[in-house]
Amino acid sequence: MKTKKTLLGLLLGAVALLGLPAMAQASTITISGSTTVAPLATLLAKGYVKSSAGKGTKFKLLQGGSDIGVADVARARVTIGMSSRIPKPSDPGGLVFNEIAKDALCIGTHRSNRVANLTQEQVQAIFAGEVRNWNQVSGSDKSGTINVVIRTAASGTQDAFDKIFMAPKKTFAGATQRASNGLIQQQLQRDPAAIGYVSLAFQNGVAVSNYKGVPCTLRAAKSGQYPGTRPLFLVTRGAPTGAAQSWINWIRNDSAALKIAAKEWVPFK
Amino acid sequence: MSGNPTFEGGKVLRVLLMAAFSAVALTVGLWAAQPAAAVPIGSPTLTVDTPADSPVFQDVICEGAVVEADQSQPEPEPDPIPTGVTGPTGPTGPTGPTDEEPEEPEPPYIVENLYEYEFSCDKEVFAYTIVTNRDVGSFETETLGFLPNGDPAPGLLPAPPAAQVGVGEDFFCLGGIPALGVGCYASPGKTPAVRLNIGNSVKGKISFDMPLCEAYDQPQFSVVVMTELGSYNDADQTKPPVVKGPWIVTSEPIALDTAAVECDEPLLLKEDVETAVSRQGNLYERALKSCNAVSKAKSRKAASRARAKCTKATKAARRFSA
Repeated sequence: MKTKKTLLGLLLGAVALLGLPAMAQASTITISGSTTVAPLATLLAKGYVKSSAGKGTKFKLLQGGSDIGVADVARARVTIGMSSRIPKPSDPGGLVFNEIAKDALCIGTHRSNRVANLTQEQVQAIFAGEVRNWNQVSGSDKSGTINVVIRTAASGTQDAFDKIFMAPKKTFAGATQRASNGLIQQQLQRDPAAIGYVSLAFQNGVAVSNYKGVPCTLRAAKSGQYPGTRPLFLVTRGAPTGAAQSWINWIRNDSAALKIAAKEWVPFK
Repeated sequence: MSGNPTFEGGKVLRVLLMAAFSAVALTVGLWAAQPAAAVPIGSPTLTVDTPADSPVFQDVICEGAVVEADQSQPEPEPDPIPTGVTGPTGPTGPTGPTDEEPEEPEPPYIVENLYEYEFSCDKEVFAYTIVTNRDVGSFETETLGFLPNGDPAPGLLPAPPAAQVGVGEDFFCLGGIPALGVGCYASPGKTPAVRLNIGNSVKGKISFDMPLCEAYDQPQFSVVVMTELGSYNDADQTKPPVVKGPWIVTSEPIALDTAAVECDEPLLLKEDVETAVSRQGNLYERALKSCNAVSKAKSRKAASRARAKCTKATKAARRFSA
């Protein structure tokens, strides 16, 4: 009888040892990827942790770019990858891109060089390096070499810009590359000769141009008028499950989550 | 019955089996408990850009402060009339009043309990951690460096017009939610490595789950900075920027000025202490009274009852003070 009790105790202890780590991991969501999605993700994480649905959930968040988020989640290094671009053919298989919001890409310049409107042809000519001087750009009263600023290769924002604004042309090799929205914003704030693109949330201090006659504002993005919007995703391996599924459902349906997203993005609903 | 070899052998076998089972269970449990590696290791052949004879430990002086973040919205510029769109008096526009009223703009979402930190140091800073005694709810995921005059810090720019990766002073932040702080590393864009230059300041924002003053003590903020860089990975842009450790030099936690966010009357501190002091006084008084009754008891039975009450009351008073 005593031996049976001892064996039972050991068995329960072993089950507990095996179960505890699994329980701890289920309530911690690890995230990496897009620097565009990251600010939205931290606000949504905070809101979720405070909600009744997310009680007990913890988050760990890291950035690096959309490609990194996709690669990390494909290799099971994180629970969720953040991406500001649509899936690419080169992405690993089995991934699900769960849309959570939309974002607008705005073309911007220095405040001393405000250009009221840019057509797609103008944007393509400037960013492809075909037009190299401001005196060739109608709407600008400056002259001098245009400093074209773009994102690095791992960036989903760069990918989205190429698809939405540039296709079938490509940005030219002489463009200055920056690793984040914040750095492009900084460049546009201090360089009178610069032109670049930033997410809506990074417009502060930048002269934003209309694109195809439509202003780059949250209102125009929400109404669908602005043609430079792109979806933002939380990427999972397969359909989301467990804590990730719960969080994504909350983001898409809860009024508190939609209010958070409406701050500087176009919410899911 | 002792001396029965079969019985003794079976007992030993059972013990050995139990030990083996426990060892396996423990091993499997420990293996399952290991966290998955979240950060890749950089290439072993990275260039180190710090001098070989630079000291391991350096004193660093940093100054900074924490203030409540300004979330007031600037007056929005009126939307420019889209070009190419005919106005209301044009041939395609409506000529009379429309049924649709212009939408009232929704009040902007305000992040609760949002604060801004700022600091600068007398050494270059490659990474930093903000540590606090409050639960962080969210944090600004990218922070920028600023010159002393408030302009954005340009960083170390290679000479134009060659294709280049800009290296403005900025940091990517990472961490847990909730957590007692946030960590930020300078974007190791390209050679030379990005850093906050001496005298420049970095600004960032963090928000908290609760108002700062709903706590038992004053809010405290410290910054730990890394002033030397080991090496970094910029060979492969599809991998996250990694600083290959170990970190060579970090400071001790340096306190940030919190005068602007000090609590005049921290609610929990004031109310709870007053209640606690009062309650504790009552418990000790009761214990003293009960214990005095032991010596005054007129019979053994009464003394025993008084002793029991004294023990109970003393335990209660000790439990509360612990």
